[in-house]
Formats: sequence, structure tokens, C-alpha cells
Amino acid sequence: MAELTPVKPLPLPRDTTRQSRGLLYGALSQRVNRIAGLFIVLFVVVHVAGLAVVYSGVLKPVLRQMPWLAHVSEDTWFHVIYFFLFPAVVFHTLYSLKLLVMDFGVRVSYRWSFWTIVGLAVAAGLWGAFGYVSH
Amino acid sequence: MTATMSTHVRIFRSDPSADEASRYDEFDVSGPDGMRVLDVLRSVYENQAHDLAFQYACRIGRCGTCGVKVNGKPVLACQERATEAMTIEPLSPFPVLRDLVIDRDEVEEHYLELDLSPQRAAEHPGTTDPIDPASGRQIGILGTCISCMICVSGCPAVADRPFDGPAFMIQLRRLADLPADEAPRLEQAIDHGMLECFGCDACTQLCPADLSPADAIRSFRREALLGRGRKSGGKRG
Repeated sequence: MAELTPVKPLPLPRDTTRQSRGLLYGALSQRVNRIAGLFIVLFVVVHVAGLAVVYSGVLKPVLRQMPWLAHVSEDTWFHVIYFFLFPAVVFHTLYSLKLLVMDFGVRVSYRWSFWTIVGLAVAAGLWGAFGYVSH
Repeated sequence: MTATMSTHVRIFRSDPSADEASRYDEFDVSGPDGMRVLDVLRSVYENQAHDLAFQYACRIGRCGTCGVKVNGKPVLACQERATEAMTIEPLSPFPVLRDLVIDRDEVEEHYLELDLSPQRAAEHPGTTDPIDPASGRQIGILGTCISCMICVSGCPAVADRPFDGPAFMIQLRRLADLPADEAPRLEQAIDHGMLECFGCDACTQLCPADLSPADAIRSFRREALLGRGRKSGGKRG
């Protein structure tokens, strides 16, 4: 009789009798990914609009109305945005890459991958904060 | 002496046929420590609300009929341990027949529509189909889905997008792995919203049958990207 190929189980510790108490990682990661994506899109839109106003000749009248816009990125408080931007970019990029890689057959635990990506995103945020503080 | 526990439970009540607004009724229940949500529901039904509608059959997590949402998470009532405070609701996004009982007609129609019997290219030879043991085991594992709809209820993609849900994908995957089946299961999966899944694995975490519908979906995606001949998925530890 042919020997059965062992099916390698995923390391997914779970207690079926306490499902309602734990984190639902899928829903959480989906929400965090969306918030991060939304933040990145908003940042890019505002960034491009700001640059257009500052550098486009056509929009010079707008710049005359808002002269502070040309120097806004030099203000220290503006750098607070990196506290959020860096983690958002790191989380969104790594989580999306994880999904792509999994579509090609790589098996990854949703638990440790979520916490690893969150950890890296938090580290990126702390790095941004360190840059702000040391400025 | 057996340890006891008390729980304060809010239960969704609704009777669409009576044209009344839905509401939450609150009950206090005491019972043995470690009692399940189903024990709480049965106690409420027997002692406090004789008109409470809920479903169950096997009580051992195998029939898949007692699915409810506890504190927002879909679970099998017969398996889930009661906590000190619970809100119990019917599984979403299904229509509610009454209280915690959902209308499964739509589910059954979906299964029928998917044509989940092997679709052969030629007439059945009348003999047993040869199949390698590993594939047979894999197909058998995928066949242990109990159709409880907990994965569908917990799937964020089902709530947001035109996606039938993980439970249907795992059945399609089972047929796709079956050598005798010649139906275009990948195309069927795509038609039923497989590409709308964003691989969050909520279904894997919630499945009471220890399956991974997300892995089954990923097998379809891998097949779409790289063609057939790859190992399928859907089993997890």
C-alpha cells in the first residue's frame, strides 16, 4: 500500500471553545491595511496638490493667498506626520507583499505575520519619532 | 461539588412575520462552570423565554446548525464556552427567520448552483476511480466542511464585495482536486467572487472543522497564476 504523504500542518494555535474572546486577526488586519492605505492616499493627494501650488506657475495666485504653504515642510510640527506615514507605508507594503507571496503558494501563519508586520511598522514609527525628537 | 458560573446575556429577538422591530432581551443564567453558549440558550428557552427560536442538532460541533454570533464573532454555540457577559445574535449576512434562526435557502441554492457532484467528461466506467492516496486524503479532508456558514459570516470580503464566501470555495476546491471531475472549477470560483477574497485568513481562524478555506482559495489563485499541477490546500493544523 502506498504511503500517505504527510500533510504539514500550519502552526495555528487555536482554542475552538473560546473563539469569541480572541482577536479576529483577519478583520483586524483588513481594517489596519485600509486605514494605512487611506492615510497614504490622502498624504499623496495633499502632497501632490501642495507641490503643484508651490511650483506650478498657473497656481501662483493660490500661493499668494497661502504664502505659508511654501515653507510648511520646514516647520518642525509638520514632521509629526512621519510618526504615522512611516508605519502606514511599512504596514501596507509588507502586508500587501505577504498576500502576493501567499498567492504564489508560500504558506505563512496569519498570526505571526500580522504581529511581525505590526512590529516593523511600529519600529518605523519610532524611527520617525526619533528623527523628530533629535531634530 | 461542581463549580458554577453566572452569565448576563443579551439575545437578539426578531420576528419578521409579526412586523415588530428587532430588539435585544436580557437574561441572567447560572450553570456549571464551562457551560457552552448552547447550554445558556437552552436554559433561557426552558426557564425564561419559551418562545426563543434557535437551532441545534448534534451538540458536538459536527452538524453546523447552531452557528450564532457571540460578541460579534461567529461561533458554534455548542462549542463556545459561555462568558460572564455575552451578546448573542444570528449569523450575518443571512436573512433572519426568527430570533437566532437564519434562512438557509440561499445557501442551499448556492450549493445547487455550483453543481457539486463530479462532472465527468465521459460516461462513468462502472468501476472505482483510481486515485492516489494523498489526493484522496486531501479531498476527504476538504469534504469535512460542515457548511455551518461561520466562515461566510466572519468574512470581511463577503460583507464588502460580490463574493459568495469561503465555504463555497472550499467545496469547489474539493471538486477541482477530484480526478474524475472535469468541470471548470477555477472559472466557477472566479465567477463566484474568488478574486474578491483578500486573503485575511479570518475564515481559517474561525473554521470549527479545522479547515482553511483561505488556503483553498490560494490554491485556486496559484492555479490561475501558474496553471495546474500544484499541490492544493485547505487543510490546516
